[in-house]
Amino acid sequence: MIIRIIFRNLVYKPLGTILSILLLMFGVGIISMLLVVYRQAEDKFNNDLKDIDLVVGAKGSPLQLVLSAVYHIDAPTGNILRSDAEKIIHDPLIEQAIPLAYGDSYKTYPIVGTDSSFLKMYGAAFRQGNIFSKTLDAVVGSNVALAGNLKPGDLFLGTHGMGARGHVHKEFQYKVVGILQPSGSVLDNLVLTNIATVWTIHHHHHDNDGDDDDNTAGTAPTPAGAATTPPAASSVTTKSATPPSASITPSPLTTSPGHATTGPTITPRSHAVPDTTPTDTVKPEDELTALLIKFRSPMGLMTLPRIINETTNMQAASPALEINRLFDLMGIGITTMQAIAFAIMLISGLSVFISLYGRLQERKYELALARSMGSSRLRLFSMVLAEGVCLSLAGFMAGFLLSRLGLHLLDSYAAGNYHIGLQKQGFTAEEGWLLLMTFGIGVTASLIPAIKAFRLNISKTLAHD
Amino acid sequence: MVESNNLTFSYNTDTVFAYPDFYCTADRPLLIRGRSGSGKTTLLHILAGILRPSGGKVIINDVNPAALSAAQLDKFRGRNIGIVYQRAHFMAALSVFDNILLSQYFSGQRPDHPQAKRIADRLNIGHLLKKNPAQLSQGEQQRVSIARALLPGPKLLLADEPTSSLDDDNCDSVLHLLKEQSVLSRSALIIVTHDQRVNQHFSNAIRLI
Repeated sequence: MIIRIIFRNLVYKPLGTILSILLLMFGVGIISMLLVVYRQAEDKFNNDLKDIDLVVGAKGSPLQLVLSAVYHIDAPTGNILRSDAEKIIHDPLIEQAIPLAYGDSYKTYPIVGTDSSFLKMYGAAFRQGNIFSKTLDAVVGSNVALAGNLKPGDLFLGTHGMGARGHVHKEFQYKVVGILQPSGSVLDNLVLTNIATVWTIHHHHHDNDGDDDDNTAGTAPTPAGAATTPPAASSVTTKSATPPSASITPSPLTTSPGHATTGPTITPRSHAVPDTTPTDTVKPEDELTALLIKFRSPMGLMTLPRIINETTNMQAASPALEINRLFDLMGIGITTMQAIAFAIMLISGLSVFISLYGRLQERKYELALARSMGSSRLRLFSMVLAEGVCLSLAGFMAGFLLSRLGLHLLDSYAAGNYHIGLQKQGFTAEEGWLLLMTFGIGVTASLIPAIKAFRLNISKTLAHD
Repeated sequence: MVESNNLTFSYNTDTVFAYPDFYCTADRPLLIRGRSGSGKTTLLHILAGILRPSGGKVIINDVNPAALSAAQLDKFRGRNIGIVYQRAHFMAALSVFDNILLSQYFSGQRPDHPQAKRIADRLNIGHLLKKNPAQLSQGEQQRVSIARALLPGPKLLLADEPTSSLDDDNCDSVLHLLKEQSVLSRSALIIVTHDQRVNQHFSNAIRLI
């Protein structure tokens, strides 16, 4: 009966009720969506960070370096010489240094030349096939496989640069040798090959390297040897003076029109594992885009970045630091939106108050009647309070649904445009607080009307009809 | 049965009402007459336990409501007293049937649907139960409020100016209805009014001055 009374009263004058619910819905919806998106972005960014303590790459914006080399969502800052990289990776503080070389993309998914330790770091599991063993072998992430409908054995062409409409390297076909399980990490959105592949493709004339066993060092000689010397000089000269945004492109690489990003180059394997290749065989044009470094001890983070930044023409950036900075920046926007959403919620509280208070004036007689029929003061008080609470809870439910609908739409949008997938999200702890807050707003807004109902002078009300 | 003893009430020092003693049983309905301002509604509210008298007492079925706590009084009122107002008022958001059930609900009883239907049929409003109160005519509304007042099985049925907005025919039928229904429900009936047309229907009457 009490539920019927409350429900009937709420729908009896629907306009005020709908306004209150709508306002609450938008307030709750926006806040909940912000919470979930922010939380998931944070989780995702932290998750992808894994064991990367430091990123070393060409000079430029440190944030750009981190975004490109760790998250693969920005253009690289440029390339570094393999010989320069060699100099630092033997530092005893470094436990692991994973080389990355960029060049092409496939359907806007970056193709990254690297080695097996990269896969190992993300704990990659193969759904089909195996790791790359030869040049032009490619291991594709789950989203890439989905986008290109790829299976092992399929051939595909890479596009130079990251854009969708770059120059297509028609003369080289990648061959899919493995497809990864979805992992929720950056691997989902990458095509991985060995570094020799990147090198080969960007030195059009040679495709002679045999296979390049990626796990071990000592594979370097082959691609290195294949690297012809002519472009060397130009590569060196351009490199050292690279301005942050300019792409370093040794002459052979400048062929493509679509390389707004960078023209990465050849890179034989360069690795923390002692390289059997004597350094003097390293060709000056052998370039990497970045190194992902893991330290043995935190000491590395104290000393190495400074040394690299001050004494070499490379830069070292701490991903954790840069990402914190990024989130601080994003935080301003999020705080603003949250402030707006909270304002909407306050207004909705006001609207609950006004609609209950307004109805109370009309319902004074009804309430007096209820008292004359034996209802206690407390019962009327709780009835009015319950109406406000029901309103706010309905608003919360609607807002929660709105936020999930918004997330769904945002997911389809973001997945297509940024390869950022949002997970389906249940009820989060923060939303528990939000629910509590909405509840509080409902109670506060209906408190005054409820007290008025409690204090109602029935004799006067009944007599003054 | 209901009886009063030296009942007085004062809103302030200037307005003091002193009421004559009266006595009323289920077989002997009481008419309280008086012009406006004579304290009729105040007396009705005292009888209903809505107001507490300043002096003297009312005894309803051996209980002195004024001696009860606020919460006990609310409960006592819900169980023992049914009130019919001059103009019927309802919870506008609820159906006629729900409005009738409200009296039982608010008095803390389980809503008795069959009994509510029986009373509604007795009052000839059985076909209106699904409607909205606002859709009914005044006579129908009056009957709905009588049904509502009778449903909890009150010991005392109070009617405040039940006829003043009705024409002669309806006036007669409402009075007839009230007397008949109070007898059927074994409730004592007290009617408070300034309507002269009511006089002839009651032998037990007092006049307020």
